[in-house]
Amino acid sequence: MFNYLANPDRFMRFSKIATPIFAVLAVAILGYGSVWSLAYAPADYLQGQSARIMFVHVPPACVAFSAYSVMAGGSLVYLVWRHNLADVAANAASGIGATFTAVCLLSGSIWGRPTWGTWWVWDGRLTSMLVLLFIYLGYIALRSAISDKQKSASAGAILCLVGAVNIPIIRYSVVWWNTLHQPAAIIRKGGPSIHPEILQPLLFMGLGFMLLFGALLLLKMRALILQNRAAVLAHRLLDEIS
Amino acid sequence: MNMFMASQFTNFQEFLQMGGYAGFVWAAWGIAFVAIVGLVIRAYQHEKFWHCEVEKLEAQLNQKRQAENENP
Repeated sequence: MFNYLANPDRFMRFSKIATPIFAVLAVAILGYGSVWSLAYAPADYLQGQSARIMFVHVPPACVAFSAYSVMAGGSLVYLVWRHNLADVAANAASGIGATFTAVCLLSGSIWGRPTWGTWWVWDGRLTSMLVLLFIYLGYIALRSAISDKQKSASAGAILCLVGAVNIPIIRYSVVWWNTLHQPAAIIRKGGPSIHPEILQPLLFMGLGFMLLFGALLLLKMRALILQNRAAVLAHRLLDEIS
Repeated sequence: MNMFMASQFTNFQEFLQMGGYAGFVWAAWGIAFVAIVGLVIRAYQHEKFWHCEVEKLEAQLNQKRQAENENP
């Protein structure tokens, strides 16, 4: 499928249909999931209603990782095969990933205040997540600072692949270091440790956020492809005039 | 029938108060909502802008080629 879509024209035709489908599904699932998680999921026995912040904390973290995976995958393919569409995917994922990382950090901070008694601690999980945000912002700044398209893509790809070392650090930070953050509760040995009545709406919201990520990624990729095409056309027009 | 029958709250006031955590819960949800809406609007505008630019440039190129064909 990736081979088939590697052609920009075919990708544009595919994404023209796929983007609205993803978007409609995302809106429907996020709408239903929001009502479910805000009003119907049971409150936590210790944290009370403040545990409802989890539904806008865990799914954005999931999108932040997925966006980085897309970026790292795209960067690797670009460096090995010099495929422009892979670079477009990496570039498109960066802004989305940065935003969802920020949402995860902010909602986590707001959740930390009533739960831990503090907005922020410099521990493994929180700090490595902040580093992820800085890597995203660094990538975006680097891309916009280099005007040569190919140099910008290569430099970004290298930064992204070097920064990928942070991903396992985030994942295992709660195991390696003492932290206020709880250990993994969904993807863990022995199955999820969350009660199904809370886990189900959480997974549902996760699905909604991932569909939203899909729609946003396709839309951003379309915009970048059109931007590239406009640059080529403008160049051609200038060549023909001179 | 009360729409809050099966929910965790007995009335809308209680729902808004979120068991005393209103400020925290609604702030976190508000940030997520604003971020999502902002991302969607920006991505949509970005795509629309370059779509229009490409169409404009294609029309200009076609015009030029037509003019060249008529007066070679």
